[in-house]
Amino acid sequence: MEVNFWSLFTGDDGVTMDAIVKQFNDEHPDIKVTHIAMEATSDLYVKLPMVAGDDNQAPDLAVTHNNYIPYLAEKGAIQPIDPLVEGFDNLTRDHFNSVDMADYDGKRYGVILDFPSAVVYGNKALIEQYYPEMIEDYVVTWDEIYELGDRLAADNVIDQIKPLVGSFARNDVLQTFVTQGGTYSEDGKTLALDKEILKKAQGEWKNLYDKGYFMEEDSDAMGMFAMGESVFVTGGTWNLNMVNTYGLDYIMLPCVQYDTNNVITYAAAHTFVMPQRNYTDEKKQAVGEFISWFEDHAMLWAEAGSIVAYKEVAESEAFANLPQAMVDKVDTRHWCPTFLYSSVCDATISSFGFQSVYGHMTLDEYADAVMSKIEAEIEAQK
Amino acid sequence: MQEMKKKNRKRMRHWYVPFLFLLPHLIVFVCFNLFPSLAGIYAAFTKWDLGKAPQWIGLENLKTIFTDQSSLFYWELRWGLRNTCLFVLIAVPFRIIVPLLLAAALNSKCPGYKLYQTIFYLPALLSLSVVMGAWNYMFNTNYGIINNFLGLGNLSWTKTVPLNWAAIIIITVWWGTGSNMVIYQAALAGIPADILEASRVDGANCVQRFFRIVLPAMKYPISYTLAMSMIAEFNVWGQPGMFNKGGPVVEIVNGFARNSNMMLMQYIRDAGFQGAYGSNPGIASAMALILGCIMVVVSLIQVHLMQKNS
Repeated sequence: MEVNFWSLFTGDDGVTMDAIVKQFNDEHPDIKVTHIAMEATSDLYVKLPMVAGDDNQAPDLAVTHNNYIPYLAEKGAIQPIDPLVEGFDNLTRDHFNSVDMADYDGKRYGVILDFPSAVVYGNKALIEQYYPEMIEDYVVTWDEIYELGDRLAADNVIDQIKPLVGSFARNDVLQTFVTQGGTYSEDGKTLALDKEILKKAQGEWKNLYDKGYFMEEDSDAMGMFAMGESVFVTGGTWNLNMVNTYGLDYIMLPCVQYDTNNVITYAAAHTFVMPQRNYTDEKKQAVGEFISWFEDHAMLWAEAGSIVAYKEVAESEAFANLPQAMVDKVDTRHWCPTFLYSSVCDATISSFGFQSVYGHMTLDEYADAVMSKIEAEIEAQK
Repeated sequence: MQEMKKKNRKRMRHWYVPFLFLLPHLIVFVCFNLFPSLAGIYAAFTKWDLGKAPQWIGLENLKTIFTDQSSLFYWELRWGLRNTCLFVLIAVPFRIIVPLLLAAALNSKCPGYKLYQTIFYLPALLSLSVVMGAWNYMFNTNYGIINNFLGLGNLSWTKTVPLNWAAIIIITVWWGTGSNMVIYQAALAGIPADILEASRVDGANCVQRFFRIVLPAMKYPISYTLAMSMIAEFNVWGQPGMFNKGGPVVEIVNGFARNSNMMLMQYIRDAGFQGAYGSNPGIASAMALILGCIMVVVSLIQVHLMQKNS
């Protein structure tokens, strides 16, 4: 039985997924999974709606970000996943963390693989030198970042070493947005983005920059971290392999927080979804078999740097020894706003990056322009 | 008479032979050029999300991008066209002059000219992503060779206007020089040496020879490369897209933000085929139709000038 599987795993993740698929195929001579990786926004999310309902072209299984589920479901590109997971004991809801991230309209649309979470990587030697207490609770707060900046400034090294640099403006703004309680919609269908919170989210980075505690525009944040020019760098779990090559003694923690009792990381979960097409009973069984086997072997996926959702692995001792386990050392909630047009909101916030941090527009202009673009893009889709 | 009739009849019997030779190209042209173009024109008059069947809405998309100031796409068309035209006006002359000068220099057959020819042509063989990867490193704020060599500190080439324009044009000219250069080299090689020799005997210096003999003899290749370069640059999107994603916001109009280097093709791609924003190929095709019409008009003017020159 052939299973045509599309995913958004290009790069290192794609290599890992290819290896996992090969292992599955070797162990299951009667099933042949073919993995096709493609770029997410400009390829996968365009193609899935185009091939929906076409049994000759639509894949049998796909991996998408969870926040695209409402969009793909409304486009008729995917369907609730229950028919694929029925009969597989390890795929019931209780086996997964944050399982509701893959729900839409009261139905289960996906099986979560992992949470590609917003994190910070910290240079342990520099932390030890300037502010060792700040990581004792495994959470870094904004107050601590400013305090670290003050200490670096007091030591006259602030021009050479920044307390924090940002490697991914979209996630950096989104993480400050969600950790302040920001969301896109209350009911999942109507836009209710709080402009004030968005302004505060961008404003936090601007404040850091204005104090001289953040990198100059267009700097290579990861490069600065690698060279010891910053104590922390923002990133994602997907940067783990790259950071490993720097030869630094580092720690990976949740993204910078406001409240140590309510730790949230921005994460658009990677999720198996069921494309809209017809399935024979044999095909359903084969696809379900693959998902079930994958989750049972989720440690292979975790070893490549992922925070897996499958509880049996996420709560295992083997997982606890991995660097990314530090992100879950506290009671971390991996989350991203789910909304019919959350992809529009993400993409728009992404396209504006740190524009007002570096003075290209005021914070008010930033918030207004982001809202105008989001509203216009949503209107165009109706 | 009888003989001629016979020949004509024979010719008529084999009228299809030229078409057989044309057929392979014709098939490729119809499948990959003509049909997509017609489909694109049709899409411009529809509301379509790539999923469900396109819905005919007549001139609605064109009305939106031409008259509806409350629409984002109205502004994107204007901003995109303005930036694209500016880019064409600046980049195209360099794409003609630089390869022409290099071809003229190589034509002097200086020592090692074959090596230089290879070096100058090499960028034309590279893909856009390789070109942009290399130049992004060179223009890197912290570790780029350009900032370090020129002692510019942490100057941001991607976010500083007009430096980002200069950088995109430098990259474009560097990448596109080789292909025009070989055309000019071929044309230069075709200029009879005895004419140049005669002019030298008559006392013409190298500047006079270039402007009075070489340049007039190269009118056709220059017109051709001018047309091709203009068409290529009107379609620009990869260089600004991969260099600075459209650049910094420089203006807010009607609540919408204008970025310094966003070209029309980037707006078209974002509107039509950027899954994140939800695909809207109808509006994207309408904008592409406008760009296409401009390119057709520019090409027709150039064809007319070429015919006049020839």
